[in-house]
Amino acid sequence: MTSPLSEIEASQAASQIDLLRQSLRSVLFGQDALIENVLTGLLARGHILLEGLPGLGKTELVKGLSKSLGLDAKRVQFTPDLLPGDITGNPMLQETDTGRRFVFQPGPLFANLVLADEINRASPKTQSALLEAMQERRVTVMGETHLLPDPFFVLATQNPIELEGTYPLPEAQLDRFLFKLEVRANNAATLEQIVLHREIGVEPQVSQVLSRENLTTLLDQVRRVFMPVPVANFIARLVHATQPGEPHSGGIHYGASPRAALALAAASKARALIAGRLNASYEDVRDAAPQVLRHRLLLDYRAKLEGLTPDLLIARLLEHTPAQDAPLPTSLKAAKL
Amino acid sequence: MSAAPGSDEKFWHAAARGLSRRIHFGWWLDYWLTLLIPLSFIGAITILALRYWLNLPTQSVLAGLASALLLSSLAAYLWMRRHREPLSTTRIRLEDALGLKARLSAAAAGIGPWPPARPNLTLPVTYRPGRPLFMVASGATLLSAAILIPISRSQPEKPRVIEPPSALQEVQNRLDNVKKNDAVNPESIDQVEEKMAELLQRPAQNWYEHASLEAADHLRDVTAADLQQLAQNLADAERAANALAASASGSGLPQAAKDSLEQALQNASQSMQGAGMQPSGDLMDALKNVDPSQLSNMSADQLKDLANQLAQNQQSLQQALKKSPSLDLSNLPEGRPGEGKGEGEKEGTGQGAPTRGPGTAPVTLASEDTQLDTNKIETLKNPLDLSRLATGDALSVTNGAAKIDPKAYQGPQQGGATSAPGDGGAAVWQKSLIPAERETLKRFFK
Repeated sequence: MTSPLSEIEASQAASQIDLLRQSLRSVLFGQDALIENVLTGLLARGHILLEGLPGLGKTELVKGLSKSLGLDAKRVQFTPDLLPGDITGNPMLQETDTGRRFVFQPGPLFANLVLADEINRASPKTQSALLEAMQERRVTVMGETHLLPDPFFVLATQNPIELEGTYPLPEAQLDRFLFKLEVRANNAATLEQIVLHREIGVEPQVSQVLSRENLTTLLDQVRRVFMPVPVANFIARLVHATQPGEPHSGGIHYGASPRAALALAAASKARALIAGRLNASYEDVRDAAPQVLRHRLLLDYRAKLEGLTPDLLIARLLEHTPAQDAPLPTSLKAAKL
Repeated sequence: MSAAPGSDEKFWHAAARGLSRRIHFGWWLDYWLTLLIPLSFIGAITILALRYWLNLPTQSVLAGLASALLLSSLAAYLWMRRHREPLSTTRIRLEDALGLKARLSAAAAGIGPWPPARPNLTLPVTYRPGRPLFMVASGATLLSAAILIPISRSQPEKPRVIEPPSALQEVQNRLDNVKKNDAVNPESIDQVEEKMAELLQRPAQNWYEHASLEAADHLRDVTAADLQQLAQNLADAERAANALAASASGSGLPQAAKDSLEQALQNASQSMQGAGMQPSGDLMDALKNVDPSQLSNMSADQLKDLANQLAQNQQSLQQALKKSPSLDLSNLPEGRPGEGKGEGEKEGTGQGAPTRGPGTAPVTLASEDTQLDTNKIETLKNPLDLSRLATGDALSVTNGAAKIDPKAYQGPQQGGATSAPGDGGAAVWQKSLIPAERETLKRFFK
């Protein structure tokens, strides 16, 4: 049983996270929402799937994050011919003191931050190897299990345009990602900032603002954020509402899993800590719900034909799922204050 | 910052209670309004019925209405209890609507402080006045209409009074009068009244049956006859007594006349003692005390007294029956009933009565001509109706060889063939029809 967070701890955590946020803002211009969500996913110990066009700063974001936190970062470009061993590592025959023997050479997964670029280009076998590592946080090669460094975060990207030669991630594997974030194109003002402050071939200077220990403490504090029973109830009702057959789940073929409820709770706690609060709230759940649920909902053909998107369905579910499900009498109405 | 320790908590508790009260009132209003319209209908009908049947004053109607509303409020309250919200639930509504980031629930769980109080807090639930106002107005309109609408009050049904038959009333009047004037012995009156009571003892709806009316009429006639006979006897006896008194006082009468007068007095006395209507008690005692054998020995004063008593009783009787025009005692015949000249024989039928007819119908034995004006008689010449012959019926019986017409049988005929081809211009008809033609005809004439 973890002790609840104190106000001082929450305040200090929020300050530290704010430092990290400022640091990332100096690296990635005009993507405050993306930075916020990445920080949330990081603090919730979740992996993030980024969907967006090339050149929007995804790699810069990972580099900036690793530098700000003093963590190891690796980037893996996924291609169809990429083998599982290419990312997990391979045993290599080496001369040792005791003779020739296979020595495990860790792959790029052995880093704190891994950017899996265009993950949908890799074969399902390689994807599975990565997703197993994401879930178990360890790699097993030739019977030997190797723990991945802690913390371990994967930021995978996929290109939404090109479908030829890709292997879309199955729903069961998508479920392993805490968030699916859409990286949107920058507006003109942001582009002007980029032009003024960046040059090709010159990496931005980012100083470390948090140590690995600080990050570990923050991750621990996220767990200690209080989850009120009504908020947990709200999360449960929201996730349950995604199941086909529920009143407002029209257009959904498969709903969200219990893992989604856990992810939503963790994300809500992380957002609460980012805001320096002691408890998660309904607002945290509402803010995190699209990122958590959008890749977990499988739409039916009718919804696709009607042009519905997971985000639209999630917005509808949030609209029809109040924080308190007890109905109001007809002679009263809820007022927006 | 909170003004005092615990004040924020109190504030939010109070706010939650206020919101809870409003929600509970909303539920109560919902259920009460659900009851209101049916109750208004029932109440309006009840009020109209009460106003019509029981003629209740408005205050009573309003009191009943208030009681019904009170009962419906209580029923709505009991119904509302199913939706009672605990404060924890109300807190959720409050913190969600106010954007308090679930701090009320967390603080209630002991995590973190209570949010600062908001002095001008607006509850996040407001009323929808449209439906309640419409329904209350509808109910009030219904009830007001039921109270204010002019309605004719029902008149209580008067008990049906059946008057005794007029004959009995007439008898009763006579009896009352004679009783009042002490003209008749009370025992005689009691006997008649017993008979009347016997008649009236029957169910009132049977008083006007033919038999009852006949009995009443009979009782009236018998009473009248008895009274007339009493009056006649009194008059006869009074005359005889006066005559005897005069004879005894010196006016000499032949012995035969005296005997006749004594006999008349004696007859009258005996007739009165055995009649249905007897004279009053004193006179009756006096008549009983008179010894018929010693009548000739009575003094003139005794006879005078007797005559006076008889005259008084006669006067009382006349006075009593003065208001009975059908019973005129002022011109009594000097003699016995049946004596004297009758009315003679009359022709024609009687009046009839409920139990008897008017008598033999006036018939004449002379023959009367019929008024049928028939001068031609048609008879059935042919004894057999050929169209109704059945198999085996004999047309006629003749002797001799049968005459066979070899041309009569023309062989089998095809349905629809013309039976009488006819010559040019002659009418042609068909007797036999094929089924389709028969069906067409049926349909046509259906």
